[in-house]
Amino acid sequence: MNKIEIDHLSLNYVEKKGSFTALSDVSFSIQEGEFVSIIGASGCGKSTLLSVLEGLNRPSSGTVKINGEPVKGCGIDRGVVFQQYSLFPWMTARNNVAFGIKQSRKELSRRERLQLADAYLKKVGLENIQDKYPGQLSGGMQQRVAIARALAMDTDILLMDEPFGAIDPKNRTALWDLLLDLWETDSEKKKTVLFVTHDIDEAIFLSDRIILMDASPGRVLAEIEVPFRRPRVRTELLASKEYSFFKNNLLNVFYNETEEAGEEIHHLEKIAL
Amino acid sequence: METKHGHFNRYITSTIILYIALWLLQPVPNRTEGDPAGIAVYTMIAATVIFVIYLVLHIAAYDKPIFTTAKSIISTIFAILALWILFTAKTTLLEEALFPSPEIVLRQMISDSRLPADVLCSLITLGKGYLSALVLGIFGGSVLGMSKRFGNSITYITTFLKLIPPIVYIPYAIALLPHYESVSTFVIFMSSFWPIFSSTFVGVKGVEKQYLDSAKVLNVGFFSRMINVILPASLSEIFIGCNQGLAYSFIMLTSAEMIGGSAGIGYYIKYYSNFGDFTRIIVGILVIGILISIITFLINKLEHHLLRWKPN
Repeated sequence: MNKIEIDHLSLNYVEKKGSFTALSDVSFSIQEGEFVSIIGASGCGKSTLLSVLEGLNRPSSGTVKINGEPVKGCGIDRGVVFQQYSLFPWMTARNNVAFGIKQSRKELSRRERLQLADAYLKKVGLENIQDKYPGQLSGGMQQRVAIARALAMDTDILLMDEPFGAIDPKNRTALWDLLLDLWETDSEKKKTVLFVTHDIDEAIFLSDRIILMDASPGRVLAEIEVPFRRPRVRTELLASKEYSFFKNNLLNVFYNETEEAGEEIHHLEKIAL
Repeated sequence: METKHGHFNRYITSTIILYIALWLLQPVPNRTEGDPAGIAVYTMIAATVIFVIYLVLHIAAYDKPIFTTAKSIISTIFAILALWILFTAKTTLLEEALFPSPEIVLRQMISDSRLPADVLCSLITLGKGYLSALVLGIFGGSVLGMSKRFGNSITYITTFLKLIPPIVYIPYAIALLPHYESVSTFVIFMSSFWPIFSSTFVGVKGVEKQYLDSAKVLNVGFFSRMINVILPASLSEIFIGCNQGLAYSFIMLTSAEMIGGSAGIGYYIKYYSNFGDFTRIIVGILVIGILISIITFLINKLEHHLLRWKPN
């Protein structure tokens, strides 16, 4: 079943001098348990697309369905991690996670919420910072807390908007490993993840499928299956010839844009390991 | 490495020298009639209490900035006390009837029978006026700040109302309100409401969209959003208005009591000024100063505590 279904989605921002087309006729769908990345240059509308799924923006035309139901605003069936400002700086790490749990799992008592929050902070490798405020944590630690909150809320869907965009490369790769590990092991049923990024390695390493977007107007350029089997070992995968080959082809598609893209994608799909 | 000289300096400070100077002044005979002979008991008890505080801080917090600040404040108090004694009791360089010595003022302060009632009355008036302004100002400011319709117009209107010195409301308040106490309460309310209201409005209006989005995607309900997201996010702005409102309140409290009151610390000063009782006037002034300092200190502590999450 399609967990997420986007059909002929367009979104125009009305500005003082006419309107601006952020998204034009975007269609794709995501299976349950699939990890999909959207990649594209800034201004291609990838974050706008995610904001429609988050319920923060409404489509101008077309439909966006989750579980077959049109999205009618924000909902607790979707966990969200932003690039920044996911956390509330006036709540401690523990309270930030517990506050998220409170919204999605109302049946839990305060005590249970706090215990669960601590358990999830432990899962993301943050054991002794429960009482620290986000302002006292590094950017990487803050994103770990945000991930802990999104996972603890136990939603079917995770929407991640360049969550590691502001993290230094060393910490970023550590966060990839953490995210994949938690995605594969945390819950019985794998969550459906839609992950926005502009980092091509990030997209390849994490995803089952990559959606390439292009700007003016924001549209889908290509959809590409990532052929590498899981579980993936980052150091091995990124060093492999197949990986370089795939990445180069992906970059070609990215830079050559639409014309020959169809053929290239066809070619790409044959290199499964 | 601490030299012998440095070690010596650590213990012989200006504070200690001034404290000793206060004692050395004591055997000098008084030239006034009001001051008892011998040691000025109240003055020296007060000075010694302060000195003990100094010693405790010296032991407990020598390396902390609070000690440096406290040391300067205490030295200043001692210096003022010494000069005050010198110019009044010991030399009468200042007119005795206008400038009583600290001993006489302190004795009056301790033994005054109506002072506690007046202080309590002022605190109750202040509490009623300020707290109601706090509740209504924060509530009104945040409700209007959250609504999309009210934008700049509110800012202009509140700026206008904020600029009117609240003292001009007193004639109307006297004419309209049933008794003098409610006049003071009303004027305090008027002087603190607008600063609190407008700073809350500005603060709530300026809450970063990302925090609101973050709350939205978590599906946070209206009241929870208000209490857990919007108010904390605008708290430092709100405190600016609260502090400003408090400062106005103190000014207006005593003014209103002096103009139309029948009780309270402002009325106390006004009442005794009719008799030219300068001892009690100084007592009143000192008590107001001490009260304001304590309240401001407590509010600052509260602000610091509630905003402890802010990275410096």
